[in-house]
Amino acid sequence: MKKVLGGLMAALLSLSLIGCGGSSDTPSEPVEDDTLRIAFISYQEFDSSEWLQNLAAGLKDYEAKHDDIEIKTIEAIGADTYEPKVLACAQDGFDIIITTYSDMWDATCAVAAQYPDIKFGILQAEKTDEDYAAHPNIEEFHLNRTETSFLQGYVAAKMTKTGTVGFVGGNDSQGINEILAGYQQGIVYAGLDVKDLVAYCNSFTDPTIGKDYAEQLIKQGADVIFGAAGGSGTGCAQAAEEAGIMFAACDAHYPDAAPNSEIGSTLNFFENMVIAFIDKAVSGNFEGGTQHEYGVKEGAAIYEFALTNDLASEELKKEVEDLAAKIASGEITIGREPLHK
Amino acid sequence: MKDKTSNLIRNLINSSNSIVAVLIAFLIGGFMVLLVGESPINAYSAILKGAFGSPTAIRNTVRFAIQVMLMAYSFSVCNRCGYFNISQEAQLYTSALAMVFVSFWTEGLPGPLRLVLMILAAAAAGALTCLIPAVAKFKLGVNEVVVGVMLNYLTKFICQHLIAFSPIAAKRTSSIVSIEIPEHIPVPVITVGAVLIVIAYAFILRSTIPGHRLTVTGKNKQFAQASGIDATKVLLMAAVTGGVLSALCCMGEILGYFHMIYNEFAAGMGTDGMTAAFIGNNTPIGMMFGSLLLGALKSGSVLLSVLTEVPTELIDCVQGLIMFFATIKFFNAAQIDLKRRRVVE
Amino acid sequence: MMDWISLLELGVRHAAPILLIAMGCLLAQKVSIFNLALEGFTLFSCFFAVVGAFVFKNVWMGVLCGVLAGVLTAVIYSVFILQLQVNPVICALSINTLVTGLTRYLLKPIFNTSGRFVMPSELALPTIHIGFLDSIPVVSVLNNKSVLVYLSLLLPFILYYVLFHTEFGLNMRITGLNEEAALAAGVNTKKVKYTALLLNGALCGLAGAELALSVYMFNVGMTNGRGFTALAAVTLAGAHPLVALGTCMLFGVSESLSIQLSTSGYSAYLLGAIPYAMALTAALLPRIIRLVSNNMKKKSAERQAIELHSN
Repeated sequence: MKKVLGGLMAALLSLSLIGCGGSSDTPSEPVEDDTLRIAFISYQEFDSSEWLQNLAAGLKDYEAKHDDIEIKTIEAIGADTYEPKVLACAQDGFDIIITTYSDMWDATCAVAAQYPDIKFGILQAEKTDEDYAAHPNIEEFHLNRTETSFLQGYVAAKMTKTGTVGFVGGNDSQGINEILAGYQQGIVYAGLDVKDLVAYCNSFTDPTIGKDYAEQLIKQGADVIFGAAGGSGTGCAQAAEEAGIMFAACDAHYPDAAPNSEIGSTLNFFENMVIAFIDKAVSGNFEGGTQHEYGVKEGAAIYEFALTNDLASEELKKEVEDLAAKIASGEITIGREPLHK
Repeated sequence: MKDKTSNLIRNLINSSNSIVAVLIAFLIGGFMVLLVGESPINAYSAILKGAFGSPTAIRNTVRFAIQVMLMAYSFSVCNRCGYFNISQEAQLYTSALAMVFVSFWTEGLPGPLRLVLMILAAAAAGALTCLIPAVAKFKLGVNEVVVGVMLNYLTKFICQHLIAFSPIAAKRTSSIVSIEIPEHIPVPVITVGAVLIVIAYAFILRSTIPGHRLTVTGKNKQFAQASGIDATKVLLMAAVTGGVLSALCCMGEILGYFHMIYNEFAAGMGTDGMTAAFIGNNTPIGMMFGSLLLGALKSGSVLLSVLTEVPTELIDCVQGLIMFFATIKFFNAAQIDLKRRRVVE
Repeated sequence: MMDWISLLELGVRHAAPILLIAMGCLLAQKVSIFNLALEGFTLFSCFFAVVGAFVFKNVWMGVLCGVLAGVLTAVIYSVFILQLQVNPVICALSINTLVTGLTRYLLKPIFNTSGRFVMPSELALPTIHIGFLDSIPVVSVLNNKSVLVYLSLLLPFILYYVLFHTEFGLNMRITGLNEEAALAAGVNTKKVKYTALLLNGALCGLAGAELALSVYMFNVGMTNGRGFTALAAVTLAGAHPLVALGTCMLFGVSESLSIQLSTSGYSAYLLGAIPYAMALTAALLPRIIRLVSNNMKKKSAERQAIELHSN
């Protein structure tokens, strides 16, 4: 038994010595063929949020239209898989690697430093200009979600009859709070002294609880509910529909859950932004080391009224169009911090 | 037949359980892969390549294996005393928070001193958290699984609150994370440290008095007390050791790789450790191989998602299947009388 | 300003699926099987409740499919732990993992969606309006609930009767307390254990159906920890059905408290921790008080003895 133990120890030690090896592998030679390989690595499951689902679908459409481009969508769940997956993509010879959120920034930087010939893109990284400048082969792009939710807030304030509107967010984090910030500022801009209630339901996958939270806001007088909580948001839509009040949707329309109560949706086309980045990189206009903001002006985000009903008046639709133009032209600036919680 | 040989054969038979389990699980997994429209051969070769096929792969495997192994040891140490340590996620969260807070509070002090303080704080936090359900079980008579599960949820929310709003919250990040801590431990140190822990754990358990006390108390508490062992003290020491082992896992992850607390970073780490402990039959070497298996699976799945279209849900399924079959006693060595070479019922 | 009535009403609605799971878990606990696979049982039933309702265009077929799915999962679980002697903890955890992955995966081939599937609102679980209840002050919270919610409130009493006043319940309790004695008394313990687990599966199936069909949709991971909450509630209650009714209501009401407080500006994370903090306190505080008071009694008795002795 002792011999076996000793042998195992030796095997383990030698394995760990290989594991300790600090030097990186030699990067694999880029395969000289015409297909451009792009990897898109998401920090959470694609089916957890509408915007990610739309993004994946948009990328698939793009791939179908271009014969010489291959796009691989990968999920990296758990912070300890970020760097391994980015590195694996780099070693497998992808030409462009796109990562998501500030969580993956460290992993992207580490791999980008080892592979200066690969173009990296990162979505919503929230770093400073100096940070980006230090990495010449990473280009950042982010979508300003405050713009469309500003329009949503304006619409909600104009449509409410009780003077109170509500917001149900998935969790108290910056991504959701940006949406809240735009919403609240839009309400203020309408100038009608409307009160807004804020709740976070701590889950993106529980429609039952989303429904409970929305019903609570309705009890407190809200007659417009803005549901920014993924799957739980569908529960909010149901609550609004059942109570006969109005629902403000985020990232998608809800024709099945709220056909009569949805006023409109903040459609943020993350896929447009990513595709714009890909087009730039493919055509030789890759701008590593910089960050770009996309919003209403670039057509990456629009506010679209519901297609299943006629809740909003033509007048309101015209006002929103004008507002969107003002945002696009820079006449209105919207802060990123919520006014209150 | 000599005793040593029969022992060896017994061990081999017991470990062949796990091998058969893994084979069955991979067979079913391969079938599921086929249903998805992918080739099982592609899938498994991707997993093997991702686990052992390159220095990077081996590095990943070792890293994940160490993670699982420390959690497995932590679970096993407590399990030997009848304390079902399901609050491992809570121990991870509290030791992570302790580390980052200490790092934040000791800004002016010299580097090595800060590191030592952080390590001590993390170990203390882990030990205390592990003690709570243990004390609840042994002094208050409350079921430790309830206390453990509630602690897991509670510490998760407290951790989220602290990395979102307290001084250690990072500003300007897309999701909630803590600030980055400057202290680093090089990866080779962590790997060598883990190997030393394996050796130390096996040695202490088999060849030292506290180790024997632990084993005896675990097997029969009354007998242990009759022999003069203070069973309660042994149990509490086991809980402390379990907490410190979880804290070591946390330290390895945060000081070696993450350098900050990610949201819900501990999700699933406890169950992985538990699985490895059961696959390895609670023995130090067995658990090490169990963790190597789970680590290999995890690092193999990295390449699987990059090279094939197999969805991540399937990888979870295969892991679940392995867990499932790993504890079926296909061959029970105890039931085989090696001397007379027949099965004894 | 606390709205007690709506707190209670929301508490009842929130506690209903937890109660159903808890009653199932309680039956397993009575035959000393510690069932950690409740999440898996319930999530699987949620999925098939939606499949059944959608395919047969009938909400009650959905309920039936949910129950069948729960029973099926329970059959697999019981065969593995009772027949093949697999470690119950590992089996349970792996069922949970398998079900999560499987339900997520099956959305594509069956419904051609990913992440969630929403059904038409006609397939929602209907609520029953009992007219006269509205006039009674507190009991009015029980009005306008679905039949499954009413069932969940009645089950503790039904189970109390079955467990303590029928032979079937007696057999269950004996099997759990001392299996050898039960065998010696002629009880078919294997059959009893299987029955308990199948009932567990069926009740989790009802819970899954209630959860999914009251929002007429399925979302990946929609059970959100309710299985573990139910387990905690049952263990807190010492596996007594009526006490379990109380602990489940405690969870339901504390969750509804955190929902009510959600707009007051407190940290959403701390609010989310309220039910678990309450459960922990409920588990530990009575014992701590008892321990401390025992110690104090002991100390005062010792003091009295010393005084007597020195006199």
